[in-house]
Amino acid sequence: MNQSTLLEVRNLRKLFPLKKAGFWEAGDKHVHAVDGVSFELNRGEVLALVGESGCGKSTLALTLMGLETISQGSIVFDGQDITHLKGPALRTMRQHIQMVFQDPYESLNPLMTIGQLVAEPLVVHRLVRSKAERADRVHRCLEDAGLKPAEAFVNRFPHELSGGQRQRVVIAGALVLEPTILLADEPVSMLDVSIRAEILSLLADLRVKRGISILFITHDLGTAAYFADRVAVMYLGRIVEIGPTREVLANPAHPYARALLSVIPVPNPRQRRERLILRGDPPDPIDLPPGCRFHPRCPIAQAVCREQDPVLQDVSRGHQSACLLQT
Amino acid sequence: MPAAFADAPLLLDVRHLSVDYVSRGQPAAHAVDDVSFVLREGEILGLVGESGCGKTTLMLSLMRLLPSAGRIVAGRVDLLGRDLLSLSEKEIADVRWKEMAMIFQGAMNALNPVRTIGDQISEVIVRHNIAGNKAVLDGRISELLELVGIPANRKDQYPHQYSGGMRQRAMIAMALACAPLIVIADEPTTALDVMIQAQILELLLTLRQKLGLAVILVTHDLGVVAEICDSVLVMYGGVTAEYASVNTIYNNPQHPYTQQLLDAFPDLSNPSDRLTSIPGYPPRLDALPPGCRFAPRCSVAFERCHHEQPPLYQLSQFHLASCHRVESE
Repeated sequence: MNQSTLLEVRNLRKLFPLKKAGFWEAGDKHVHAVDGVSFELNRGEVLALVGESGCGKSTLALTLMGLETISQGSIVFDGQDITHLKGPALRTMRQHIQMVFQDPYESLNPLMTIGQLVAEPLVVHRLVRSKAERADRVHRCLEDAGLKPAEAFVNRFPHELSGGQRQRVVIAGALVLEPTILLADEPVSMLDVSIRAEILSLLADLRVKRGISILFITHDLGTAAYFADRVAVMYLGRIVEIGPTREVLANPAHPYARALLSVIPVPNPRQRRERLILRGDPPDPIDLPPGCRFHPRCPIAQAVCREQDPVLQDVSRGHQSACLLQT
Repeated sequence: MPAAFADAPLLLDVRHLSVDYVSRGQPAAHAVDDVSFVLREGEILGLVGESGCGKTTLMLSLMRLLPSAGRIVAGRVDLLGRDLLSLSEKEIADVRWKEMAMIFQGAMNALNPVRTIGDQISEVIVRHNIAGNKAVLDGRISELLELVGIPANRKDQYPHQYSGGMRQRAMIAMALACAPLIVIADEPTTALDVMIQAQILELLLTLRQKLGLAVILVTHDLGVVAEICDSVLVMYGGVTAEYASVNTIYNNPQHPYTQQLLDAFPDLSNPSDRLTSIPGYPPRLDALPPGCRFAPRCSVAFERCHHEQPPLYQLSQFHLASCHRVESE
């Protein structure tokens, strides 16, 4: 673990046991939600975690927050192993890792004012001594999240705000504990295209101003490309490709990453191009296919792919991919 | 009209359509104001705009499905030369599904959970007396499912046994049940992953090719529009901002709203461009600005824009834009 690494995830596994079909049934089946994920998040870095629904990206975020227990592997935050933290230690750790949820229409309590919503984490963590200090911090976070002037917002309710403003409230609520890492789970997918850019630039500014590291979880490689320093592509609970954004976009090494890249709509009808459309849906994460888990949908799969499970290998500096056929 | 479709038979001709929402003691909200467009056989029209710009209202008024507060206050909707607005309730009920079918936003999540997919598709067919007996009906359902890429043997399964992409396919199969000429799809891919979205878009293109189907695709995603549409109608605050072929919209946009919308969209072929957002919010429909509806958010608005509403200027044979700057050029 070098100096700049803030969060290190090693071989993380999260299996959800399935209910037994009957009393005598052996309950040994599991949903492999996260199945051996390793990565590092550096200080002040934006890492995008990209994949289809069901690939395990949200479960991964929940385990990092300590909201799900971990089946195997370790999470090291700032030199401290936080894998099995419990109670007060877990709560303290959570101040440093905050989450921005997907849906600003559902993640704000409609009966609380904006001021109360943003102040709630401070109350839960018993971080402020006086009302004045609390108001001051709420004020600062609202303004940092672009809700200016803050006085105009503190006494309003969520339904009085637009979607973009609500998402800013959610971000202000995450900032109030002064975290070092933000886990942003699809923070713009519910918003209109015209306001997505302003939320993304807000996150980009926070990274510069506060030095926050961001783990940006999305299914949209397009928005990830604008904003992330590195991209990790997940498929069925594993990272199949990881590397600097430009490098992955220019030279995607894994066939899944190539297909994903080819179907992103390009807003220019003159550039309609060959799309590599994968058939069907990702296989069931309960009975994983043998060998490479992508082989049933892979356009270039060979016999060897049905037998061997590939591991991440270097493609170029800092760029790795898990494909048996890469040269 | 894009060259490729200029000769295709005209299906739908919407002229100067205006829709208000009225409620007692309050000024009427002009949700759609003087919108005109045409749709030809095999054409895919993209209807683009932010939430609340009137796109769904416009589509609902074509189907005569407006909520009770909605009033069509002006205009004509001609489907194959017949004015839909003058039809009786019974007559319009026959037009729905048979000539024009709509896939509502989020409909794939509104499938009845306790009835099989095949059963739900059959309801449409039976309602319109299309299939004579059970065997014909079963054959038709299998055919429809195969058409949208679902194995026919899954027709007896329930919605929860389908993935999101398959449920959306089933919705498309249902829309096609009575072999309509036009399918209106309201945000059909918004809740789906990019790969499933690509599958659905490809399916729409195949159906256009196989059946000569015309599609109105309602979306706020300009990437989707660029991928499959032939013509584009950009709406803002209930009015037409710009209407042109897809190539013109993307390569020679004239309305500042279209231009800014394009700048707000991430373009992977050019990732170094900075994304810009459009400041401010769309106007409230019950309190519209006096001049151009986009003027308060427009970066190039001048004095005239704030007190005079621009008409739709014709820039070329198939390019209309409502912006005062266009006239002065």
